[in-house]
Amino acid sequence: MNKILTYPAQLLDQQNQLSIVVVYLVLFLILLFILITFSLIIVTSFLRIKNITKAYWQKKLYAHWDSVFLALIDEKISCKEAFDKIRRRDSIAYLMYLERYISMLKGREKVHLVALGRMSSEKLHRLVNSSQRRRRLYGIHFLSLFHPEEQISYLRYDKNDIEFSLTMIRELIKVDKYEIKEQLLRILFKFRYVSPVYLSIIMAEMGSEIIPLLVMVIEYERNDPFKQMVAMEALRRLHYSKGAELSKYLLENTMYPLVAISCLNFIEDMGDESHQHIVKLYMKHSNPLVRSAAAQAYIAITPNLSEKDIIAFFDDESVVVAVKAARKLKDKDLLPYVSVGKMDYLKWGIVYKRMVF
Amino acid sequence: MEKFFSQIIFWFNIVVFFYFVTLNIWYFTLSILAYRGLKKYMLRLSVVNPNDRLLNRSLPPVTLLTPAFNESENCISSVKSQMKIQYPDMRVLFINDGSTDDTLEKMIKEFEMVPAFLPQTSFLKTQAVKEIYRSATKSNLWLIDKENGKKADALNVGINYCQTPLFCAIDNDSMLEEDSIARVVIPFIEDTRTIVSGGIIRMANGCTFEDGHITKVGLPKNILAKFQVMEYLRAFYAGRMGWDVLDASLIVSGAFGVFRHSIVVAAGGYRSQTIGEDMELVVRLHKYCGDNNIPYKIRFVPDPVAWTEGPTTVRTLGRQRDRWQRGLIDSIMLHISMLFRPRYKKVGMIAMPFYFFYEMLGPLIEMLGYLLFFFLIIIGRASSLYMITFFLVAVILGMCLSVFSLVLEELSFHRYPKFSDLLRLMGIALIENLGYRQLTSWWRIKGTWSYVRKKQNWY
Repeated sequence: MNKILTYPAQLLDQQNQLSIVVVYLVLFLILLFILITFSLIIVTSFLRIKNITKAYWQKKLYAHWDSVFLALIDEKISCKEAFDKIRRRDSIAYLMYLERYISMLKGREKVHLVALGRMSSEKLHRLVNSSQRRRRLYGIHFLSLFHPEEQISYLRYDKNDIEFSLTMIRELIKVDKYEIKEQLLRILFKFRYVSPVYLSIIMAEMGSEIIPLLVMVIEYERNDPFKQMVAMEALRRLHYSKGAELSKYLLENTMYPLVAISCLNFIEDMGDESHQHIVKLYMKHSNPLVRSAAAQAYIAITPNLSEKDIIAFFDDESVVVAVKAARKLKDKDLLPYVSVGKMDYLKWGIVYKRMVF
Repeated sequence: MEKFFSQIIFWFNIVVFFYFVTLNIWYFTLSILAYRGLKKYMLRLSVVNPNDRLLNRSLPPVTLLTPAFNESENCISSVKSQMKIQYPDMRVLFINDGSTDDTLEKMIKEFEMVPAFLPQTSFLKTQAVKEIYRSATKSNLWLIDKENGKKADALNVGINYCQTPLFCAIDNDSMLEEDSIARVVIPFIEDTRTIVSGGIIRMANGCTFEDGHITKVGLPKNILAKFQVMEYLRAFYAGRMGWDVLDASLIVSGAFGVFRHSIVVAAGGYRSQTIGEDMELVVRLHKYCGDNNIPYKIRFVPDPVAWTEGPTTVRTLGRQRDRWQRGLIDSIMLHISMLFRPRYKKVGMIAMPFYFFYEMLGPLIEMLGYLLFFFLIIIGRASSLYMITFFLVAVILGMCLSVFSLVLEELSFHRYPKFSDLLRLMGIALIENLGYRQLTSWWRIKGTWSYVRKKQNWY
């Protein structure tokens, strides 16, 4: 990067009529870039001085804010008095510092500080209505702490600004209102490229209230494997008691490998012997990932594995199935019987021998 | 005859002038794009905490692949530093690439390695594996002892035994910061199309380390190392960040990059017969995804840092640059069919042409320029006035770009805390264009020449 040529071949012909113009042009460029370089040096120094000054003032302000917060926590002063005492209370740094305290406290102390934060509502509204994306993001962030009920009015999905939308949702899941959760869920399903694991963790964070909504998604969105898969994953994280039955129903009807894998994972976690039949069918699926999920589920729900079952796992075309099955057998501390003669002829007999046996 | 020479010189002048102008326009464009990208990233960092509980729970398992050949001196400290990385599910796979020193013995003794079984999950062609060990004290540390086959082969062995959806290739002499893996993996969570994500490399020379972790950041005393600090800042901030904004990154440093295991296996793993295996793999991944219509993203994240020792002598630095240039040419030439192919989108239409014409052919054009200049001096047609003015433009442009990368550093992470260090870096930015830049150009020319002569040494 940034390799500069240093030869003047194009300017060498002294006979050229244009040469004098070129010289002036080059001199102009030299002056211009010298000016830019020195401006940049000044900007760099200014930024460093700004950073140092900021750190100095931050230290001083933190000490001041500490004293006020502690006085409020000890109930030596009222919320109103604390708010009046606070210097630079209009700054984002103050709200961030207050947030740090709130995240560490519980009970009455936390309530006092949240009340203090709520006194900055004017500032919060200015932030969320700002034209700057940066300030809007801060606004949403602080609203979720101090005025969560108001935050919903700012909820929107912007496919060109996934970060903003996702940040807002992550903030909003703290709000304990069914209507809000419903809206959040609808928006979350629009994040097609966000990791399904992450989405399902966010969903599970909303609590068991959203289970009926997730079940509805699974039932009605039959042609959308992404939605079904994420919903199924979220239900698994919420330990939905009827999930295994739902999985069985889906496995009987779906043609999407991703959905099948999430259902098999559910059965692995919460299934029982009654699901053996459907799981066994999936052990013949063309996709090795589906087969490995089926193998794991089958091992999990079957109390007594037969020699035939083991042969199926370790004679599979794909090593993934054998490895996953071996890991599951080891986790469950199972050592099913396979005769030594047969073991040697299995395609992945070595995996069985070294990981399980 | 005179007229013929004039014509040749005239047209060569036109080519060089066009090359010079477009190259610098590109560098400035990349710097401005990098500024925008960095600003956006800093905003994201201020609101989204990478250590967020929900994000942390979503982090996919990662395997750290550390190939080593005769690394007896620093293998223990390096592995110890890797074991301290904070990540919920991480395994370390140390690959001893047929070392002839006591690397293997040291590792076995220090970490109480015992023979163990690790199933092979993919079957890339590699040199034979002699034995696999697992640490009796640290359950997530594995050691693979294999026949020598160079770095790419060692990495392929690591890929074959990788049990996780992601792997991180790092150099044995690189020190990763504690949260660097968690940060570099975030693009994989936020966008499932991500197949590669790379972090920033910074020079460890001059910094203080304790227990494999950085405790004090400072500038090295060695002038060559100082030049490299500046070079790295420019390459990563202005270069990689700019290409990332354009969504056309062609390089993810071999010293620190996270890859999606399945796609690397599908694309055939690292190519053993190349010198620049890291760049070649990334270019091949672009090609593979383009050919198979797979939606994908290759990302650069500017804050997870891998600290690495840079060469401090002219000889070793020259050899390193020679190797880099050969690697670059090899990667470009192997995938030359991607050039100007709309199928590969911005990579085919912008990045490949840039690397082909400016990074690969640049030293050749430069060399021809020097030769012509000396020729003109000999025949008495060179003008010292023009030479000086043109040289000044080139030097000042270089200074301008270097100082701009310092602005980016100050705007973002300002990792060099001393004001005096910043002043020194400014000084370096001003003087590196007078001598050091020309020296690196010379090494690149030598690298090009070595490539032409098919000299391929990696270690």
